[in-house]
Amino acid sequence: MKSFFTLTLLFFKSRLLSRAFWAAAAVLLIMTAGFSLLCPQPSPSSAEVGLMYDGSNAELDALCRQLLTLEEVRFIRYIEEEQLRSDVISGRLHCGYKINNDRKTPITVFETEASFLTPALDELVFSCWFEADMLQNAPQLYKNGQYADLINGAISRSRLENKPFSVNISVNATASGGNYQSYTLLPIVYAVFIPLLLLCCCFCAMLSPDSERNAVDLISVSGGLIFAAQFFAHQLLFLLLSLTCEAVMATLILQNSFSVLARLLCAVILSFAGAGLFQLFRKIKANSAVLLLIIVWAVLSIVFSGAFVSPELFGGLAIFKYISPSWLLLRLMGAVTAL
Amino acid sequence: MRLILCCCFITLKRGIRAVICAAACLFAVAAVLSAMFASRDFAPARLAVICHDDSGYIEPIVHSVIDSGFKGLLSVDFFDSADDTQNHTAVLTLPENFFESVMSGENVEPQLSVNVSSPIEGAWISALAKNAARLLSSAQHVISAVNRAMIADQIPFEQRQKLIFYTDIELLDNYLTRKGRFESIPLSATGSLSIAEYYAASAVSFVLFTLVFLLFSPIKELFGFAAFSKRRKRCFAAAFLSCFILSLLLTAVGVAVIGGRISAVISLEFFAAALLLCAMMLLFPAISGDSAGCAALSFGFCLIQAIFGGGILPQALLPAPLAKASEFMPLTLMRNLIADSAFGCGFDGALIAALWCVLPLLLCFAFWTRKGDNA
Repeated sequence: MKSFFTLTLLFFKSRLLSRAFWAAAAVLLIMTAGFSLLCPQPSPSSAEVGLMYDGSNAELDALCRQLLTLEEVRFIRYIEEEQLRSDVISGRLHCGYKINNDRKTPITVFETEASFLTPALDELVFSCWFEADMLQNAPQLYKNGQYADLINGAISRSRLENKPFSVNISVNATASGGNYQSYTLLPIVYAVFIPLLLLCCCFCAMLSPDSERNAVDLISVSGGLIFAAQFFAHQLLFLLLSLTCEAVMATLILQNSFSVLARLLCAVILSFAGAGLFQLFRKIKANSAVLLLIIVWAVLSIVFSGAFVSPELFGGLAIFKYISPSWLLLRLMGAVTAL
Repeated sequence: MRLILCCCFITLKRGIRAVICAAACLFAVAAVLSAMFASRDFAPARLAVICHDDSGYIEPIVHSVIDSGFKGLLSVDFFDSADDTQNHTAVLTLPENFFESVMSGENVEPQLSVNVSSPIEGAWISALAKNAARLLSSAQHVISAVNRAMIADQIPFEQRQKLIFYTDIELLDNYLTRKGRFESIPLSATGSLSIAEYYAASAVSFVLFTLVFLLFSPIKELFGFAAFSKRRKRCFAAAFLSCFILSLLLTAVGVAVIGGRISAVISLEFFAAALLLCAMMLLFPAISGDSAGCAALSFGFCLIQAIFGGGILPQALLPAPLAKASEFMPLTLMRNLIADSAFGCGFDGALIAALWCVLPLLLCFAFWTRKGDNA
């Protein structure tokens, strides 16, 4: 037992003195921090839509305020067009609308390639303008406004006295689950982080000097003990690295939709997998084919993680998701979070 | 000269396997991107209308409304009963004398039953239905008010009915021609490139830069020969020539797989991209000790640039200082050159690209010839 811990400590210290390990750790931390910083913060899954209009038009103001209080869609009022455009481009808004005073083309819609909800949103925004315009210009419908006061008065009385048109709506939703879960790019961060950590473990192994391997061969203890000590030492080290990256993500990403338990479990599994890969790649000669294979595997893991697009979109190639550690761990983390 | 050509030939022969691997990766990338960005036709949502109203006006009005703004999004089927409506997203049941009740202001309530797979879709449809109901109510108030004005003006009943009808048609026409009242301004975080084109160029430049480690062995062996034969300058020339030829090949493949123009191969941007790739092909093996180190260096270098240089998040979405700094990154330059070669979007950064081509080459030349040439 004493030999085991002594060997573990030696291997641990040896790896800490390795430049390759610190280089890999530095790159991993930089990428984790950078990606976490650059990813937009979570936003509600219902679309956020920008709305600009002239508040001096009382009728339009009243109708647009109703839009701003809708629960189904989050309309946000903007004053500056530049800010509206910027938020649409950045993806913070699904799209933006500007209602102006031009009766011919009163509505300007700012949209991107991803604005697939605009046909439905167009209806909501146009209805507001149309209704305001209709009520405002109603007196002109008969004898060019000769009876304007009468018509306006009649509209006000009609709103108070008459039963409004309504639709009795019942929704039979077959799926359960939260209505407005947070939409977050967090799975993408993990989808990139997981294979990168494993790739770093592989490179650490391949970049360890031959002298280190020769020194290990000279140790006069059983191979099993050496293997176990090496495995445990590297498992601890990669666990520390993984937890450090988790801490960075926790600091930079304000809302993490995965539970603490799920993230800890992910870190532990990654550390074991990393230690295993390290042991494997210490034995393999690092030629071009092997290097190409592991880089391709890392990229495939990210692509087929399901964080960017569903793997099923690739048809038969979706089978690659089973070799993607990102796909497997994201599902596991989701399941543990849901418990 | 003979030495240069001989070394070049041998290096090309050794390096062709790397080119084949890289080309295969580029084709795989193109296939993945095609699958990701393929346009998908969504089946329109199906609306069933059970119409108990006999007026004959409902069906043409509903079809007009669908055709005016919901074509491709919504399809409508009319039924007499609810028996065949199970496969429809929503079922709208209109009671008897519905049209007459709307015209008279009595407003008999129709029933809308929505069968959707998520509460959010249901919420959307509810919002649209409530919106339509409110709009119809306002139209009723206007028509009612105009009717009162005509009564005050002592217009006979039959003439009033005709004028009301024309007013209804005018309001309906204004609503049905609403699409003409929109001015659409498309915005893009990827400039003049579409998202697919942007990420295609980004992926190609990432693959090309990352895979330079495949040439580590032939370049390093040529370097060893240069030191042994003390023909360093000539061997460097051979290395440069072979790397440039390989990079021309790879850049051409990269531009071709993302659907670039055939005329791209004779553009200045294409040659600049090839030269930049050639510079990286010589630089990474020069500063790496072994192929694993070269692979780690090229992959890590490219990944950091991809994250901070607009390879993963579009450059326009990066914070302003980072967006500015990214213009100086070689991967960003490569992406812009590939995009300009393939799609003709324009390239701005000739000076920086020239620096990134020339400086690494000078550095490599200094590295290769540091002990002098004994020719």
